[in-house]
Amino acid sequence: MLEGFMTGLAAALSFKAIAMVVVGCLIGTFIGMLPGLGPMSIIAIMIPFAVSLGDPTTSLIMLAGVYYGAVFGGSTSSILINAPGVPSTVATSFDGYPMARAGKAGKALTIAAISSFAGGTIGAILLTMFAGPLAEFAKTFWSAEYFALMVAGLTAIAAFAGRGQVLKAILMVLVGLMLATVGQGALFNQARFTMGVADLESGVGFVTLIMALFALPEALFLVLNPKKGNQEGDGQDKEIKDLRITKEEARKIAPVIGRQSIVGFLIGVMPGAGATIASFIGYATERNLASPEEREQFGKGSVKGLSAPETANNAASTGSFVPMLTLGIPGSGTTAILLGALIALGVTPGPALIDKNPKIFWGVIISMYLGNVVLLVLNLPLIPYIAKLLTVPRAYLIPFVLFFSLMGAYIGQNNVTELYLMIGLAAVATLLRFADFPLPPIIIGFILGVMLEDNLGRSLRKFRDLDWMYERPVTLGLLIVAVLFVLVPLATDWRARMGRAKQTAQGD
Amino acid sequence: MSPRWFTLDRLIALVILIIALAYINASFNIRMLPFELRQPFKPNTYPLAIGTLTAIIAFLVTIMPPATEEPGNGSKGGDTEGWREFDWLRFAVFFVLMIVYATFLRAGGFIPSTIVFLFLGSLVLGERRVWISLPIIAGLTAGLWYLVTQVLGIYMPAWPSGLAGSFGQSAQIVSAATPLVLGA
Repeated sequence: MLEGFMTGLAAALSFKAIAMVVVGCLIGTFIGMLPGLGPMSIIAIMIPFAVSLGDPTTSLIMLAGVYYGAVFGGSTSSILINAPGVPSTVATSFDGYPMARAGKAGKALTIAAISSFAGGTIGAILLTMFAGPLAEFAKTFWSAEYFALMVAGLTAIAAFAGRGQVLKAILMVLVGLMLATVGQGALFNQARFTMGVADLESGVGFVTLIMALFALPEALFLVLNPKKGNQEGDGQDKEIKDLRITKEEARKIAPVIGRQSIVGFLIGVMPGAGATIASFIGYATERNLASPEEREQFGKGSVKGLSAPETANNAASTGSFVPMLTLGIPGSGTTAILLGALIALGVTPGPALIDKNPKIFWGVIISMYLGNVVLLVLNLPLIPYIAKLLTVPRAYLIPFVLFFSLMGAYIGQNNVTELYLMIGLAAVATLLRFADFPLPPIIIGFILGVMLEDNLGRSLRKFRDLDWMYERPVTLGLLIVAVLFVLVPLATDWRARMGRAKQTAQGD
Repeated sequence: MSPRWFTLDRLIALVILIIALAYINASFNIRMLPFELRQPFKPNTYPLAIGTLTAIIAFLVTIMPPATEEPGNGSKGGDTEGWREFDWLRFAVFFVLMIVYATFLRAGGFIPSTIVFLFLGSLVLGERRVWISLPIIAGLTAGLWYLVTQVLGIYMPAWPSGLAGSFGQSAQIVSAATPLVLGA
């Protein structure tokens, strides 16, 4: 393992890798600040460029840099203009924006940056410690355990879907699984579900699907709703100066950072729960732990209230790399996209990654330390200048986002059918958003679909029947967990619905 | 059932249910080789399983009592609030623009199609200062062409086929389109 670690260290410290971390972080920060573009769209747009780098390690290092850069940029727009580019930085705006309005924008940015840095770095330390052993354990898994693990990973999405969303989330996962079966798979000779369209034989492009689900609807929502994200003018006149924080403030946020980086990391490790949930839990926990007079400050510009979600969301982002790197299971929409990028680069994810590609495994982890430093020492001082770029007029921004989305899909599959498919899927995705269907489960289902069928097939061929589902303890345990992941939230949900139905009936 | 029952999310679930049934039907019709028919794991085993599951869940979503007061109206999305006042016309125009762009990307050449696409897009979004937007877009398109063909290494004809290198022709297309859009 040490040998692999050293290979990764060498890869992460090569000139090209360092340059790509810097490039990734800068691009991520910049695009992440623009309204209407979250990390998922940004990573999707960057995939063709990443693939052109040629080396999977460097590509993934760059994409990871884009990811945490985007999270960092998202908190900047939350603080400066109260327009969180991403759900995971919504909690950041609770106290960050009031601070900026009170003329403490510089201070707020510094606290956010330090918290992000600490959360990300502590997360990376935990990742370094646990990723190896977990991957070693996962190596004992056979196809049966692997199948059960994926089922558990997919159902976990339902468990964290939120009230009234459980069935809808499962339905979206299934739609993703169905989409993944289109075209010619590695398992069978014939292409399936192509409906006679020759261009579909290669399947639905992964970049196409992400663009259609995230980048296009986000840009089109800005077209649809002229009001959304239009507070840009608000941030312009605000002078960002004095980035320093006092000793007193540092003393206040230190314990918050300590707690939230660990809690956030653990939440991030769980499949289905990611940075968004971690940031809200972090905010709520710190609010409850604070003394009554400090609690008064929450929502009005509390340094603790700003530090908590920022630490937690970065630690969780890092934590979500654990299942992705060690098990090959994406815990969030973003890691699903990174996993898809890895597959596009010709690397098979899974427990074997640490042995077969130690360079990628450790290289990415080590590059995270560097990325966090880049964000703190390079991007933070640049923020006042980058923020000026927020003035990019929408009349140019939106057509360019659409252009990059179309080009991304075209580059991925090299045919025009793919573009029509993407435009059609984007219309469907917009409709799904209007009906409150969660979209990230589709991409997670899509990425896991192929591996799920592959492992089910291997298990069935090996054991000829379904006995392996209850004869193998780890498989059985994981499947029971999967069933609970669905049933428990469903039962709670059902009770709430029935209660409401009864109430309305009596009310009439 | 009250008229409320017919909400957008139920309608979508119903459509998914129909798609799932079609998917199951298609699964039965997958052509298999003789040896595959005897395998415990056939090309349609897994599709049948997920298709059936999808149909069941989609059916459940259509019959479930509402979770929120107004499901499907973006009661908590935030994104979809006030959808009645949204600019649906502009939204539709962009879809048409994207389809037209996709259609003409190859035949019309990358540079003219992209300039027209970005230019019309900015025009629809309210940029009326053509003398500013056109040079910016033309310059950026040249940069994008370099990025796509040289950096990313994608084959992409720059000009309409048969007119390779003819700058005058593409300028004509743009200048012909301009008054049309401005007038409208």
